[in-house]
Amino acid sequence: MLLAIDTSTAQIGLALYDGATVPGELIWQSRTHHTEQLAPALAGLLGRVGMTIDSIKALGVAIGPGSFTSLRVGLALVKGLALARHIPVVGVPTLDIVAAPIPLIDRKLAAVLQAGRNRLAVGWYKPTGGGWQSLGPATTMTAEELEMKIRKPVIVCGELTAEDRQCLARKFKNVMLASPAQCVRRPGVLAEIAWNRWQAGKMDAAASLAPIYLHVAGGLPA
Amino acid sequence: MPILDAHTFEFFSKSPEQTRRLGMRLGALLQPGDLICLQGELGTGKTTLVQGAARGWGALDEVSSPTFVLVNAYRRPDGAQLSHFDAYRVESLAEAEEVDLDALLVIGPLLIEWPERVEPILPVDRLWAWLEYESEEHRSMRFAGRGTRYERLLDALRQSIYGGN
Repeated sequence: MLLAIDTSTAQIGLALYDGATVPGELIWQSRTHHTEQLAPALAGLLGRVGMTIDSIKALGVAIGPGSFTSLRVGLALVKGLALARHIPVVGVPTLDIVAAPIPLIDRKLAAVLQAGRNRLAVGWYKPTGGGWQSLGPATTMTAEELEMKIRKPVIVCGELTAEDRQCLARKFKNVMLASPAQCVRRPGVLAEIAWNRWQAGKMDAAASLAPIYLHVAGGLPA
Repeated sequence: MPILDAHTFEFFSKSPEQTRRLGMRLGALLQPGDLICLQGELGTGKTTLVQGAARGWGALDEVSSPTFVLVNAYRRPDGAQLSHFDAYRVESLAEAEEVDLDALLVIGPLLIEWPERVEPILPVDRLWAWLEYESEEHRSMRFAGRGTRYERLLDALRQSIYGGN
């Protein structure tokens, strides 16, 4: 059984995955209580499906981009479990989880999440035989700035507020907005990506796994 | 009361006690998400102002200058939190970013000492106070608000201090 944990943003997600089924999946919004809620929620999920932590043989974790505090909470728990129980970890870029379940069509895709201060983190993807492939690291911009960049037909999916949707819908000819339900970042999808990488032997070193933070000021001097 | 413009006002404090009372009036007005920046040299009353603000806001805990921790958190009986960030010892903007000010602003008001050291990472909308040493006991304080919320906050503070309009 693989356990997947995603605390990239205000949305927290937990999923259990065994290669054929998803025995448990939990998603909720928590503005600031990731620390208090995450471990009890994991214990609750395991209990509800009649498992213990001993069932977990591998871990998947969303590594961002996302907010500093929330990412740290998930990574700390995952690293603690990995090091204490000697189980492998797979870190997955958060926007890959957003893009993966969107049906492949012949146009680019912008996967987004809320980056705070009314900005979005935006990662671009192109369709390939192997699924959506990232075109580079995420950058932050407002919904208006994203709208300005769009000149060809694209799909936009991920965490979008009603205002973001309204803004992007102005480019209705070129923007295909994923529905709110399609925009939910599912920990089950993270679990599947992590499972496949685990099976392929592409694990990460728990000790050195680092989150991808979103910087509020561009090009910070060190 | 010299009014410099609609979004700025000046206050002259004649004693630490008066600075604390000003802080209490400010603290009583604070809401989650409010960012208050206190710029001034050592001994100009920043921590005294924070002490008053925490009291006025309703904090249960005593305020100390967060010299050894970057952020002090003060709790209220209803579970709310006021954060107090001292940027003096922050060595880089990257380090300041890791404090995750945005997360602190989600849960409550945030007061920052030495804000000029981390200005590039601060939200644009905020209340900024300049505190200056005038004489042994006297301090001048200039407050400027940027953004609708802070213009209102400044109005409310001005009313709280001087009354009327």
